[in-house]
Amino acid sequence: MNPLIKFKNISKSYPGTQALEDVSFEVKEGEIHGIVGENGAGKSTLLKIVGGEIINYEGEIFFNGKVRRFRNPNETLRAGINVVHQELNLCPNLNLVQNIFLGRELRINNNIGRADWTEMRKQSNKYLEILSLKLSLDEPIKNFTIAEQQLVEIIKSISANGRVIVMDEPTSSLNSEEVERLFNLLRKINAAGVTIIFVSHRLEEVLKITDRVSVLRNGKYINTLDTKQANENTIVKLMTGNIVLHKNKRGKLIFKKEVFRVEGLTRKNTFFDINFILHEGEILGIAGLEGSGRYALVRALFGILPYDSGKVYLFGNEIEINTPRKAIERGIGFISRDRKLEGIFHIMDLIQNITIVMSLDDVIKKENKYKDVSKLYVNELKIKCRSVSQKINSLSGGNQQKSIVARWLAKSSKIMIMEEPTRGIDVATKAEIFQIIRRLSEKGNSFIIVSSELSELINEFDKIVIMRRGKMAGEVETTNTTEEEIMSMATGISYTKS
Amino acid sequence: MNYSKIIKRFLNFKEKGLFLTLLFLVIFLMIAIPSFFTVKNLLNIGRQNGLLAIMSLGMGLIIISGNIDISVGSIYGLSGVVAALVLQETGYTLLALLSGLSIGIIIGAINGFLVEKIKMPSFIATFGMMYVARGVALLITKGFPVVLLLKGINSDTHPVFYFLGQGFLFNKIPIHLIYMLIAFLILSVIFHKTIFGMHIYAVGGSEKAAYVSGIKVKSIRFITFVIVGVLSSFAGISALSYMGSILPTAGTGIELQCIAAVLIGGVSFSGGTGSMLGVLLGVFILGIVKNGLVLFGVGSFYEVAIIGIITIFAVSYDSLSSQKGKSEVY
Repeated sequence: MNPLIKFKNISKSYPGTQALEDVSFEVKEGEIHGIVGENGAGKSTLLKIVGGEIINYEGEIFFNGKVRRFRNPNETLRAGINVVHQELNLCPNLNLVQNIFLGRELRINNNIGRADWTEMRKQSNKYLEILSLKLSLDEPIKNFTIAEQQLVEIIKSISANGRVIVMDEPTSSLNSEEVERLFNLLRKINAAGVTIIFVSHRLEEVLKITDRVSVLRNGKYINTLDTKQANENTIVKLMTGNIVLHKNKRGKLIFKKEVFRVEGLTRKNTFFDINFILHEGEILGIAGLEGSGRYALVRALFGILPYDSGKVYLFGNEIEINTPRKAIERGIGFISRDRKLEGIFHIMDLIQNITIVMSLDDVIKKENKYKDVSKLYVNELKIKCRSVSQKINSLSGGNQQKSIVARWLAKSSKIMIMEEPTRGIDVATKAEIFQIIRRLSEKGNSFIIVSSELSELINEFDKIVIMRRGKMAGEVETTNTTEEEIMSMATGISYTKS
Repeated sequence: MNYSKIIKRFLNFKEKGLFLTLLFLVIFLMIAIPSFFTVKNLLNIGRQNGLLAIMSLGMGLIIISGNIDISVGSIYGLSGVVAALVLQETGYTLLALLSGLSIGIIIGAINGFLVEKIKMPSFIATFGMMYVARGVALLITKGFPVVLLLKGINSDTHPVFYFLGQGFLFNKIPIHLIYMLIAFLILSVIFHKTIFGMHIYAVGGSEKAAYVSGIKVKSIRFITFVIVGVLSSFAGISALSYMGSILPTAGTGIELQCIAAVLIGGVSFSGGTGSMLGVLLGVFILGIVKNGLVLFGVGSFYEVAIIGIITIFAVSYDSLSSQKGKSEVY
């Protein structure tokens, strides 16, 4: 088989990070090609280049034997490559048929004016049947669940009859049954000659559906394997380069002093009757799928979202938290999953970013003090920068994240709430961040961390609260649980590794 | 003297583009028109632009915080009218001053309330208040100008009041220029030396991050509206004192000149960046161009078009240079 897409010496750097470095490999016509890698390995950058979203990169992409440089998403689409993005690109107010055929509506007799809704509905139904989905064709798409919307997004790309379909984490919010049906559909269109590029961090799925799999690590291309000759272990080794976050779990620790307790916390339509206790030095994980209310819960604890009923205790005293300011005054810190919007001050330098919380109550700036504090934490957390007066924008994601950790340390926050603290961070820095968290916990800091990465939850935390559809599905000690157990609690269906 | 050090510092100087533009303008006009570079004309430029500068500095503050206030022209007019009527009725200078300034505080507070509590977009809230305040000014004057001199209020009976608008320091420096310097110094200190000033940048640049970091986003923005209101009021009262009379329509369109000066001064319209020095340079670039046109004997119609052209030029330069290094298309 001929190479349909050939990447040749692709490099792309951002200030402070090398997102891709000299990546070369081929995707053959008619195959299902997996691309795997840790967060920050460069998968999404590579997809953005193919998708025409990133245009200034080094190297060349050959498509069908010719060098192509896609300058915008439209050019990619016209070349016959359909990219299914991880985030949904649907119009929430339009219905399923309108969404699927948006921008390429079928016309009666190829007329200019009249849309052929009968034909479009017929084709939509055909795909819904293959996926055994029973969805209304007339309801606005916003009434569907996230999983259903994700499938509609996929149908939209498949129905465009392209030569290549590129899928970025297409199964992230699907349960195993839905994944199985999606795979049936993919095999069908693959048999009809469509090449599929499948990007996922769920290795078992990659092993199941792909013919070959390419591994990226830290922006570099590592190898391409025949899926038949690969197994999870070999791929994990290639992906991580043998950096294991922590080889051992923390082991069972005994915590005595209660610092934070939540009783019957409820917010209408979001989360219900949440109870847990956090001890001094404890690292508490919160797990759950999309829509489980896990982010809303921690946001309520920090005063960003109000809660309707329930009680929160700090050192045994009942407290009320209704603004972030109040939470901060009580020694709680918060690190958002959206670092760009709710984390960094992109226009400001490292000093201002680190000291913005500790200086809240100052009137006059104490420049020298702020500088000293910043330097202290830059050294302590090994933040890589030229100087503390550098704009935070020019640091890599991992170093930005460390700066935000420093921000709360500078305020000496005792309880830290974090959402996905390692999202978009390279493997090495990820390990470093967990080392920092562990070191701080040994000094008596406590953590509440929402994470979507099961291995992270199990290896790095002490106990995990699992949420499903707003309710607590359980609380487990990490010393005696498995990924499967957590997964089945989070999804509500028994989950076995294939 | 270490020249290379001075040059290096200048190259790191954020407002160097504006500074060079101003320098170029001055040199060009010096050569082209002999009457330009005279003490008299330069002080004249200062006087003519002093009040605009005060209001523009306020506008800069509000745009940096991520909002906009287009009611400043109406605040200017209404404050002047109210101060004039109070002075006319009571004869007390202090009372006139306080009642004029209270207009700025009240309208500023209403703007702040509408934007931060009712959560209206600042353009719409202040757009509404622009009409409300102008309407009130027309109602209480029945549309007629208030002429203090006709009621016997002149610089002999009220020397302090008239000094506020017509005074000179050392018999030479017009008081408007002094106001401008004081406003500039105070606001610069607030911006660069206080935490409050830093929070204005933070709120304008990353509102959500600021909220999550415990910054009182709403109070900070509320206060900026009040500050702008007071500055505009003060400008209106000074204008009244300068002329001895005021029209209910005074200050119409001045908000747009302020916005132009702020944008020329390098403040980003989306908030978070810019400086008081930049705004001041922006005011003077505009002022000197206008002055030059007058000296050339070009009609004032040109002035209007030229403000637009300079603004577009300045902002497109900024937009293009800020895109450098991040050419990703989304």
